[in-house]
Amino acid sequence: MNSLTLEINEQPFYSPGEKLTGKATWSGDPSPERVDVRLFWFTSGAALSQVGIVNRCVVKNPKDRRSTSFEFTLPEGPWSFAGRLVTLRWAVEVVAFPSRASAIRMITLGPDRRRINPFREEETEAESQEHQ
Amino acid sequence: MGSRGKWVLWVCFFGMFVPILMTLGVDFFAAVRSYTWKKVPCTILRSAVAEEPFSPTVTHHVVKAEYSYNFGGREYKSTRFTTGKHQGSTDVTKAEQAAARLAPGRPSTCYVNPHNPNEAVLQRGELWGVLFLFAPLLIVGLIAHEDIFAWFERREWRRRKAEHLPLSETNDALQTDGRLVLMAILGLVMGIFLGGFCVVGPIWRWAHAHDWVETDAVINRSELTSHSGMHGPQYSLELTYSYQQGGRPYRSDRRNFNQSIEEPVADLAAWTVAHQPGSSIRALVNPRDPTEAVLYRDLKIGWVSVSLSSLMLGFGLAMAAKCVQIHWLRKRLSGAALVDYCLGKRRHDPIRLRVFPPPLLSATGCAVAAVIAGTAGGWSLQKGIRALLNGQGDLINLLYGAGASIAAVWLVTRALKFLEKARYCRPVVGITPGTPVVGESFKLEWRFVGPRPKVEWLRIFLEGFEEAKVRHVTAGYHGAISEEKKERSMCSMFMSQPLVQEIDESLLYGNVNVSIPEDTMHSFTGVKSAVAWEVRIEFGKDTKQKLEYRFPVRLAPPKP
Repeated sequence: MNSLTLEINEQPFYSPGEKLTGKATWSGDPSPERVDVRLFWFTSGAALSQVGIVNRCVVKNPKDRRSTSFEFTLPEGPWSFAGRLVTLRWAVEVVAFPSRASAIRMITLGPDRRRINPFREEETEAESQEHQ
Repeated sequence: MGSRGKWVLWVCFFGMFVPILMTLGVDFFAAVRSYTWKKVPCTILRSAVAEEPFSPTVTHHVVKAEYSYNFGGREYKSTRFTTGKHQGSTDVTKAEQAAARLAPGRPSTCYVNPHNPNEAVLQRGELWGVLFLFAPLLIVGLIAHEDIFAWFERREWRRRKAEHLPLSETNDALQTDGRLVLMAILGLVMGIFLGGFCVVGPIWRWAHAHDWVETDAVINRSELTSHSGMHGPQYSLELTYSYQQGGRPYRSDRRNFNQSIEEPVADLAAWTVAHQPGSSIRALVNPRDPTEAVLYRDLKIGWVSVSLSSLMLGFGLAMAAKCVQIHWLRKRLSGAALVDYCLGKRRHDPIRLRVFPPPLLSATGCAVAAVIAGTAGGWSLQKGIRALLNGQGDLINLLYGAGASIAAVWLVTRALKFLEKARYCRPVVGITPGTPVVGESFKLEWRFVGPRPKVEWLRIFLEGFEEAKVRHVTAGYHGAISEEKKERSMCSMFMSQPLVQEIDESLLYGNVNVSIPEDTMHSFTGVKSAVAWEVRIEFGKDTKQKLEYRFPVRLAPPKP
């Protein structure tokens, strides 16, 4: 079974157009045949969850090394949003194949690096805890 | 579903399956066995169609034939027409066709059991009867489909939890829903079958019967029988008439080319009174196949058959289109295409938003639909009530007549509401740029078009909503059913910004510059959830009147 870790170089709060850089490392036997680092958003709430993979970085020969650095330019949207029926969050995930072991880090994408919270029902602390 | 519900379900299943298996299973295995028998030439000694009572109200038409054949150098004789307990069916034309094919003295073929050459049939048993064995499975499956799908979903979630599936691979919104596939198959199959039997088939037969010749016929049986069905009494016209063609007698049971499910019981009863057994009538006979005959050439296709088959087919096609759309989105939605889909294309040029369809057009559409539904419903109700007065329950015409009449009344109320709106002017909204950007401002123009251009007060709002398509399970007559509905309530409205609030007599046109705050959520279109924006316009010719129109707007995030 593979063990994966994912590190983001800065705080997990971003504005559209900013660069997100980080490092994914893996270990364990057998070595994965492929490693995917995915930048995606996902919805949750009243409706079924949707996942939108916006960008990905594929490591095709992970046997030769134990880590990879990645860099994604964040798109203009959709912004992180916490509503009553819909919540939209962003994340970076590293997945090893064929074991499908994974590690994930939540991020926030929004104007002034803040999540849109129109009902003001959630505290900012909740957002920070989510990233932990 | 609780354990008691499941227990009842299994008892129902076995209660249906065992009798069907006992009735049809024996005949089916006999029919299958006949496909291993040897095909040998035979000589028909005699053949005729006879009537045999199947039940107190149902008569079967059976081919009574005698034939001789040679097997293994020995001569044999048999009188068995086909395999199974019942040798005939209610279809006299089918029996007549078989008897005509098996004319005495004519060489034919029969199927002989090689292990017991005394056993032979002229026609191998029909295998399609096995489909009825699946009927209980289908019925129980339909009743419990919601529980079955819920079980599959729970299993999938357990598997996901156990396998620690990566979050980026759990795209539930873009999975093809089994319920959609089931509904698409059901709608298409039922629509095609109903449309084929009740609409296309009769038209096709009618179109190919222009050269049928008129012949004298005598009515042998003309009786309206009834039996208790699942939803009440069911009536059928038991008719047979005989005629001569080419010196040979034939029998038929077809009155016309129609196969309508809503043929009025009152009309059938009146027909049987006017056409007693022994009375003569003119029949139309197919010169190419004299076993085919009808009494009337006219074609009457009932509105229930047409609307039910169209509705089922339309429903099936809509569900199939939804499945294809989800599959297409799953394949296509990633990268730039995904951003375009969920944020929409930006339009920098101004856009004009009009009320579409205009209220007068909507009112006309509703009125036309109300006239059609009312006429059909009135016709069926009148036929149903006529049958009731004769002591017969014409359930199809009563139920569908009542349904169509209720629909007509609802359509009339809708038409009146649209007509009330059509009597006054309606707004046209202009937005520059066509896709306003969050953090920037846009220009909103309005003017009123249409009759009675008088506006004394006006309010315009920019409103933001969350929307979610949620599946709700409800208890139906035949088990639990679920429906996916778009949810949007006042509590999901996260912003309502007043743009214009004026009381004036010159509000027929105007414009306003609107600034969108930087921390406003832009429009977002997901497969099952969305953030939507609208411009809501309220106005009236005086303080007592309030008319409301909504126009969708897309707000884009600023370019980084």
